[in-house]
Amino acid sequence: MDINPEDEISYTTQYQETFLKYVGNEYCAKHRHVTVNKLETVPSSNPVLSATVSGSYQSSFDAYDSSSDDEQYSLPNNVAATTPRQSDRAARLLTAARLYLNSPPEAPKTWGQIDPNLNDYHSDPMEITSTLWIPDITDWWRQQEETRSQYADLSNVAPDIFSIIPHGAGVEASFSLGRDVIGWRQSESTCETLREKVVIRQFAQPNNRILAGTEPELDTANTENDSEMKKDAEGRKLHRMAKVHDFLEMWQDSQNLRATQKESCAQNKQMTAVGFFSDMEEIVKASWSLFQHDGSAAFKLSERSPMPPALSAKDLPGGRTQSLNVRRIRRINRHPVTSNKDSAPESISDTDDCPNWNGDLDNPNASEDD
Amino acid sequence: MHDVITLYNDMFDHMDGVMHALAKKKTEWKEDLFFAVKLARHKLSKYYTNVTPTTGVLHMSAHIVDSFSKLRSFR
Repeated sequence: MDINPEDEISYTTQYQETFLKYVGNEYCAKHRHVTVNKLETVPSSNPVLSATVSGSYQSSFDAYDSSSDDEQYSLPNNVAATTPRQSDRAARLLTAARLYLNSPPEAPKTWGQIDPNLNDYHSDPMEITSTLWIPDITDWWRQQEETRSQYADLSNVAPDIFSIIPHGAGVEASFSLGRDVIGWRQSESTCETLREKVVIRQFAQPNNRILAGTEPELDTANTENDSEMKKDAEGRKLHRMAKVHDFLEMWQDSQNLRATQKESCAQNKQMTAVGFFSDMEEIVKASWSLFQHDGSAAFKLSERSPMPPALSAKDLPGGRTQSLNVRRIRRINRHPVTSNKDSAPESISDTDDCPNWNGDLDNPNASEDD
Repeated sequence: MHDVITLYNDMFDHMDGVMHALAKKKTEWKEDLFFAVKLARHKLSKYYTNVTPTTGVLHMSAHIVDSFSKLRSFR
């Protein structure tokens, strides 16, 4: 039976029919050994039962547990003959089910359960566990059975259903699978490593621990410790694989980081060349053509910056600094004959530090001492 | 057992509320959270649609046997 999602009424109708089929099959046809296709024997004086009989509950008998090996369920339909008393009991069960479905849901106040939200200080504090109050449904059904209410025939359905545990250990274990694979001290393991380890472990577990391999230390004759030893060997292999994988991933990351740094460095240089500010040291190469050869202009030039004021950034290549070699020569006395021997050292010492601006400054490496 | 469908509905309502609150957020982690909740809801709805009257008879019967809810959650 499929539900049409566009039809909201069909939800409740089909769920209701599903519940009635469940009750009819599980409690009329199986538990009571009453075949529901024999419901024609129900007296037609009861209109509710007539409506019940009109629905055939044998079509989906195997839809629930056709693979069940229970002898009780494997009984053919004609094993237990339908007696009028059994038919009446089945009809009463279905009638109770229909009445139950057509009645509105119960309110907790109507049958005296303790509601802690009412601040009832005279109640037993042990029963007031928390503000999240869940009504006791099994107790409600027990009261229906004890008071022989109209739902008393239906009261044996609830304990059977509520005794089913809707969860299992396998589902619970899947939530703690990550902590089993990666411990608290393995914080640098990547999510990809975790995924691979889980996939390999889940694959190796039903395949007789094939990841452990055939190590000589494993004693195949000892079947008790074999699985534990294989599990340990598998864990060691997984750990080694994870370490290699993490190392390769870290190495690849470092290579990517290095390439990114190189690219950003080249981009930084390019940005400096077109006029952006940069933290890099700007090295200016001065040109010898900036200096003039006449003396007076040279001294005026010394008061200014060697760079022209409107020097564009394109003229700032990243070359090395070239210093100005200014040779110093001794002044020669014009009248060496009339000069005194004692005064000769003084004339030299006074002008010893004067630079010769008339020299060939464009070629500072050329020597004039020849 | 009878709380399974109720828990499904509560989780759907909670995720819808979170998605509605995070729909217009532009912070990166809020966008990531919105995407994660969206995927979780998609996964949960995939499981919930498998609970049909054919496959989820016990879940539905257990929910109906709960006298405090009955068919109210299906409406």
